[in-house]
Amino acid sequence: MDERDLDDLLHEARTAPRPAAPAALTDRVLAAALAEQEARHPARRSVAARPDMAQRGSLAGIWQAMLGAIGGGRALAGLSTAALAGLWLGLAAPAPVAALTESVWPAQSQLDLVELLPDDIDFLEEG
Amino acid sequence: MALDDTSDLPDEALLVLYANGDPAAARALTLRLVPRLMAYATRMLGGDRAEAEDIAQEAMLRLWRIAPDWRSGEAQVSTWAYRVAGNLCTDRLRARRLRRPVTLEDAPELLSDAADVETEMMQTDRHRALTAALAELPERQRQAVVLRHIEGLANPEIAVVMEIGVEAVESLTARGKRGLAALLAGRRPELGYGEGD
Repeated sequence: MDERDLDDLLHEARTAPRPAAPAALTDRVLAAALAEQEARHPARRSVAARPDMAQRGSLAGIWQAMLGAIGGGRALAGLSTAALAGLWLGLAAPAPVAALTESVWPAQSQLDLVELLPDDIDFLEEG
Repeated sequence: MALDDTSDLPDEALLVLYANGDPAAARALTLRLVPRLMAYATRMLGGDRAEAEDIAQEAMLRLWRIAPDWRSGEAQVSTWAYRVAGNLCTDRLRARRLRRPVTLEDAPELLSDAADVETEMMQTDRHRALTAALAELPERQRQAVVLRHIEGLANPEIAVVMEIGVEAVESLTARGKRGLAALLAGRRPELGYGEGD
């Protein structure tokens, strides 16, 4: 085989379609990448990029994204407790809270009403 | 960042994005580099795709790990990956040396679908013969020829990959090509090049 034939052969090998990497290998490499990333940026990992989440459906993915955004399960538990406490204070209105409310916003407080558009202004009438 | 947004970015930008927590960058780099590393390792290992998979996976794992400490401008990501894969191949070859010679049957079929079956078979024969001949070259010559003439790297890049000077790369490549020509001598008609050309 002379040099020209060899160059042709090498050119053929260089320009031949490169076989795709096996899907299982790609998955393993990607899983390792995301695991390394997770170890460094636990809160920043996108749910959409996680194959397991994608398979579970978008609703589960959105839920996980929202959970991640507020800081995880413990933060959600704290928020829920605060919300329930607020609801109870609003409905039951315990005496100490009522007194506090009264001091800030007295029930019999007088309000100064200012009539910005008096009813008897003639030029506002049609015609 | 969506995958479409990352497809035009250079490798180094993708690696920085990955180090900053962007999972789409990891996917783009994986799809870009793994087939190249697989092909390179397959050639280096005489057609052993299973071992080549291990090499590609290990090289990529090392890339993920070094990403946060990547120093911009010092090396190309692909060059770095080729170097790691090459070193891993060298380790594998040392470990299995003298185990058994590589034969034509070990060479992979690198071609995909072709319209003409006869042409495809001839091309497959040529690729197998090339892979087998490459496997018989001394390891450094094989590495230089594969990187230069099949992977298409420039000599300065190969010098970085092989941690030698550019002149040494040129020498290895030239000797490798001469060796290949000698190994494939007498097979011109068999490989479809014709007697009289």
